[in-house]
Amino acid sequence: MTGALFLVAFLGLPLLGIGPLLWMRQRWMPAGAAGATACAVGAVTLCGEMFALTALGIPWSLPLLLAGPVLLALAALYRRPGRFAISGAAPEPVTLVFLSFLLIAVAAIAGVAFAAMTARVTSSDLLLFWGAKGEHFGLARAIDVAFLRTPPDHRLLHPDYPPMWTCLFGFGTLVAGRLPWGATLATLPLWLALSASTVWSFARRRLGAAEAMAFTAIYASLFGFLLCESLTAGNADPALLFFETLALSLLIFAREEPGAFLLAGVALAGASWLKLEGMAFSWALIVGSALAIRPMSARRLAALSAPPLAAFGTWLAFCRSQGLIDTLGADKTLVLTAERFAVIARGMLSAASLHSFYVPWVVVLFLLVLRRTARAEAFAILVAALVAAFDCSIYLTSPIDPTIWIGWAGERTLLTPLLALLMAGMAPASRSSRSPERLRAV
Amino acid sequence: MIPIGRVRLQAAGLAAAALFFLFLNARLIASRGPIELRSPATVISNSHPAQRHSAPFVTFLRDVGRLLPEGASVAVIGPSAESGEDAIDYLIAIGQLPRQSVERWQAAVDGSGKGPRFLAVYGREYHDARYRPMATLPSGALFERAP
Repeated sequence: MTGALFLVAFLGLPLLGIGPLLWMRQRWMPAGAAGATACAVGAVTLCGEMFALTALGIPWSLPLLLAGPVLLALAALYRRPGRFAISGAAPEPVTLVFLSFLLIAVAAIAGVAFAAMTARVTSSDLLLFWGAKGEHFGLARAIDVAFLRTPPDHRLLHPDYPPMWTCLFGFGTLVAGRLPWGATLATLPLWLALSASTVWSFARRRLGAAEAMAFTAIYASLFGFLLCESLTAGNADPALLFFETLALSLLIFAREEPGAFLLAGVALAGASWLKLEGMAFSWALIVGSALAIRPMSARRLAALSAPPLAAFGTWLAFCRSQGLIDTLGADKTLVLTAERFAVIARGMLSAASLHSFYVPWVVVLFLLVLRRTARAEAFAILVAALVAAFDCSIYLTSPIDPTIWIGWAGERTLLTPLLALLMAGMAPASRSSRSPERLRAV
Repeated sequence: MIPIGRVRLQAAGLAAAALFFLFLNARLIASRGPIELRSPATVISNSHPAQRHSAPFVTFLRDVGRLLPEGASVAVIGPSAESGEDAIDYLIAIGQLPRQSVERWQAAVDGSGKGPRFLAVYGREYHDARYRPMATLPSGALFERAP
């Protein structure tokens, strides 16, 4: 029962995001994309509330956390009832190609669900950090600063690590009464399914059903395997993949639509509050967009960059004021020797095989060459390069032997560059074509 | 618009790659134990061998948690106590005993202070006149400070 309640807390996130989304969204967004975006907005809103209540010294409670989003949704429905309309996609004939790729996508997500729920793809990070912190936050009804500050042992809990995932676990603990450890594993297939439906929903508007489903199938099977191989059940990585996917989908498939840059900014805020890698991704996407997306007005840039900068800035200020600075304040010394560089290059090259003989990179190259979308989506390729450069800089400034660190996290940190390149490869071949019919003809 | 020949190539390439990743995941799943629809004992029970070695300790802590009153102070002597590298044991105990106050076991053993009310000892014999046995568990024992 507690497991079901915990999952209800996660499944209810889109309901918390409907209010803000009703004020912002236009009729262009199809149902799947609207659901995914509402989930992202809901998670960011909830985490923002939990963070603000902690900063104000007010204990979390369900009525307090739910009141704001519910009232906002009701007010939006009252004032702008027309905005509740969901864009319907034009019906397309169901082809064998479509059904085949649908079967692959469903099989991929089902396989990941089985692997996760039978505890085959869990790492000790869930036991040591995410679960332990999240449950304590939920029981303490706050981001428990006193708990995080307890010297010296609780420093191992990374007290200044971005708070969203532990806050979401804290919310689940509030709803369920305790943290049901087994149910935390189900978050992996849930986020993967949400990410895949994001790809499907956004891509379908521009590419048509069959091609969009083909991309959804490769996305679900590729990242399903990589998330399993990286032992991420119950960890923040699947949620990070979702926020990154949403931001990229908005800018690749819907950037001309109203509100797309702001919603991408909200997704970046979520990524920044999830993991340090999410913060790096946010910076990379902002810089990449500023350099490569045209037209890029100051308004668009502000909409894209303000949410993540505000999210991370407030968290950093909170950590400083509460004496929680740890990793974020660590002294970095750049070690630029040929030997160190060679060690990192060897390690990254080995990690890049991703336990799949480098096939993910071959898929990306195949799509980029075949579809020739690289020029149109240069910003996504730039994002991949910037994130990879960030990862290398982390290893270059690591106080410990980078071989060990790359062994721990090398594969996981490569997922973001891979995602950016894959999404670039999925981009419509022509930005002007709204719904070309291609695979239907196969 | 992409020529239809390239569209066919794209569909075939994506299908082959997607099936390849499905196969890799199926292989990973099969490598981690028998395929059965049964709840695992712990969240790491069937994971990579490097991760699953803590599973018996997690089960032990869950058993201990059922016996302890809420808010009680407890120290846990875990599997890595002898090596001195027991920070991981301590973090696991914090997560599995969230309603208790978990202290480092050294405070209980060295006799320098009052020590916690309870002492959970995993996988070894333990004798201390200050603590009396409270419960014997499959992989350890729970002690309570003598009055």
